[in-house]
Amino acid sequence: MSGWGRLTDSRYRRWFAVTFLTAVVGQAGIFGAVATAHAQSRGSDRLDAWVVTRYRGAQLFPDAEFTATSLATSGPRPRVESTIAGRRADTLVAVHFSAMWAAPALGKNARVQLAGPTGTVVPITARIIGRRAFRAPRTPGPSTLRPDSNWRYGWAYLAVIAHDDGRLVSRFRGWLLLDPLPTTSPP
Amino acid sequence: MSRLRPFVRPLVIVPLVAIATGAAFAGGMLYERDVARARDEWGEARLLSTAIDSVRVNALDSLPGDELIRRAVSGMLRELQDPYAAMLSTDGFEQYRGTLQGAGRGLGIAIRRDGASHRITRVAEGSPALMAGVRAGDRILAVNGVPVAATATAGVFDTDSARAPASQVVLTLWRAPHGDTVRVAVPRTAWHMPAVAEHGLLIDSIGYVRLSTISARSADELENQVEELLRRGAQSLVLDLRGNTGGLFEEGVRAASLFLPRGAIVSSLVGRGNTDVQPYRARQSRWTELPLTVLVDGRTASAAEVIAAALQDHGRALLVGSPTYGKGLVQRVVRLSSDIAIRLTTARWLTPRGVALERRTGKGAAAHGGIEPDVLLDYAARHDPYSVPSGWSDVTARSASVAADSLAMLALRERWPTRPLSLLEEHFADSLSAMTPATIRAADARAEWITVATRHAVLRVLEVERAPEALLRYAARDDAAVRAGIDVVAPGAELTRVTPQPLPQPLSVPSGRRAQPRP
Repeated sequence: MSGWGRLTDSRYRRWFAVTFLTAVVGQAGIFGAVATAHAQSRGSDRLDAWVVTRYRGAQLFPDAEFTATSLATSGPRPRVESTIAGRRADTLVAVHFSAMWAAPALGKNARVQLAGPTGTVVPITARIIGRRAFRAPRTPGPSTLRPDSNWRYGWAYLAVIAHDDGRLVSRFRGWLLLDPLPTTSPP
Repeated sequence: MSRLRPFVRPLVIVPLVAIATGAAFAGGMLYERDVARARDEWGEARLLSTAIDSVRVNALDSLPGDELIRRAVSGMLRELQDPYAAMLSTDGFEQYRGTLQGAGRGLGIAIRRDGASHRITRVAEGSPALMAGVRAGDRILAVNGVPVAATATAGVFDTDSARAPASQVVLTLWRAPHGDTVRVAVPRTAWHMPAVAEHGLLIDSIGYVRLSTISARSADELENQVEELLRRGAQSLVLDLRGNTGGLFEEGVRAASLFLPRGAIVSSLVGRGNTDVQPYRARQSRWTELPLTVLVDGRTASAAEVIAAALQDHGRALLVGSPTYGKGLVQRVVRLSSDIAIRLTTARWLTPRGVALERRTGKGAAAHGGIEPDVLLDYAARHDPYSVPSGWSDVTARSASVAADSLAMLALRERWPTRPLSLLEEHFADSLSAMTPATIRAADARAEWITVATRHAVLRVLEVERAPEALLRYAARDDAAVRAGIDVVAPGAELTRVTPQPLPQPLSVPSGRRAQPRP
C-alpha cells in the first residue's frame, strides 16, 4: 500500500487527526502558559519599578504565599494611585499599607471590582496581573533595629481593565479595588 | 652719650619723614582713586541724564521726563536677567508689603458660582465677613441691593479703597437650610489673614496644619495651632505646604526651627560673589521628636522650601508629593523715591547640606530641580472637593450640583442623622441613584454621577452645619497627598470608613405610563 493509500485509510486518518489535535492543543497550552508567565513577569517588573520609584528607600519582599482569594478582611482597601492608559488595556496601580506585616487584600490573578471613593461599586472588573509586598520608610533613614516604628508595610497591585476610548482612565485615581461583592438573591 | 646724639637724631628723623611722606603719598593715591571713581560714577550718571534729556528733547515721539526715568529703570532691571527683579509703583509696593505682612484682601469669603447663584464656601478667620455674621453655605442673592446675577463680582468684593464704591458692602443672603433671607453689612476694613488656612485633627491622633503663606506672624500662628492640636491629643502632624509660594525668609527659618534641635543650621544665605556665607540657626526649638510629614507640590516655593528642605535634610520629616518649584533666591525691596521701589535678587539660600536649589523643569517622574519628595505622587496638588470629572458637560455638572443641594437641604430640614458620615453617604447614594439624569445610561457613568453628587451633598451638609473639622476630614479623603501623608505617620488608618455598596438599579418607568405599542 502506498503512503497516500495509508493516509486515506480510516484508521490512519483517525490516528493522524488525534495526533494533530493533541499537538495543536499542547502547543497552544504551552504557548499560553509561557505568554501568561511572561506577561506576569513583565507586570511584576513594572510594579517593582513603580514601587522603588515612588517610595524612596523601599525594600521589596518576595511574594511567598499563594493566595487565590482575599486574605485581609479588615483594614483599608487597595486604592488606585496611578493609572496608565493603553491601546487595548488600561493599567491601574493600587496600594494599601499597614503598620505591621499583613496579608494581601487581593489574590494573584483575581478578578476584582472597582468602587468609587464613596464606595459605589461599578460593574467594571479588573484583573490583577501582579502584586508585590514591600516596606517603605516612615522616618528618614530608618533603622532596622526599630522595624515597628521606622517602617510601614505595603502591598502594591497591578491591575488591568479593558480600554474604552470614551473613558479617561485617570478618573479611576483614588478608586478602590474590591473582591467581587457576594450576589444576593431577592427574598 | 652726648657724643652720639648728633648721629641719633638724623637716624630717627629721616625714617619718620620717609614714612610720613609715604603715608601722605598713599593717602593721596587713595583719595585720588575715590575721587576718580566718584567722578566716573558722576560721569556715568551724567551720561544717563544726558541720554534722557536727549531723548526728551530730540525724539520724535517722546515721553514726559518722569516716565522716561521710570522706563529707564525698568529697562535696567530687565537687562539684569533676574526673573524676580521688578519696579514697583506705590500701589505695587503697598500690596507687596501687605502680602508679606499678612494683610487680608477682600471681604474674606470664598465664593463658588453654581449657575446663576453665588455660594459662600468658606469665611476666613478674623475677616470682616465673619465678624459681620456671614456663614459658609450662605448664598448671595444681592450685593448693595443689586441682584447678584447682574453684578460683576470681582469689582464688588474688591477692598481696594481707590476702586471701592463704599465703605461697606450690604449682602442679601439666602441662608440654608430653611431659606431665610438675611441682610448683612460687611465693612471694608483692614484685617489680618492668618497664615494657617486650615487645621484640625484628621483622625484622633493625627493633626493637620495647612500653612498657606509665610507672612510676618506665620511661625507664631503655626506654633499656636500645633500647640492646640497636641493639647487635643495629636501624636503626629501632617504639615501641608502645597500651594505655599513663600514669603519672608526669616519667618520660614523660624517656622522650621520649631521642629529642629536648638542650634541646628536651618539655612544659609550667600551674597554676591559666593564668598560671605551667613548661616541661620534654629533658636526657638519646640517639638524635636514629634512624628512629622510634610506635603509639597510644584507650587511650594521660596520660604516654604526653606522649611521643607531643613526638615528633610535634618531627617525630621519625609516629604510627600511632587518636586517643589525650586526658588533658591532671596529678594530685597529698595525704595528709591516716594513712588518708585525696586525689587532685586540679592542673595541665594542654601539648604543645611549646602545645596542651592535649581528651578524645576519637566513633569511627573521626569521632573528635575526643586526638592525631590520621599514619596512621589502622580497628582499632588490640593484636591478641590467640589470639582467634577474633567470630561463632564456643564449640564451634567449642574444636574449633580442641583440634586446634591436639594437633597442636602432636605436632609437638614428633616433632621436626618448626619453621623456617622458613612451612613449619611449611604442614604444619599440611595436617594441620588433615583435622581440620576435619564441621559446617563452607562453603569460606570451613573456610578460616577452618584459618587460626585453624594460627595457634594455631604459637603453641603457639613458646610451648613459649620463643622470645619468634619469638612476637612471628609474633603481630605479624596486628596491623594493627605492620604499618603497619613499612610506615613499612621499606616493603615482610614479617614472615613467606606462601605462598599452595589450600584442601585435605575428607576424603571412605571408600567402604567409605558407607551403602549400602536395597534
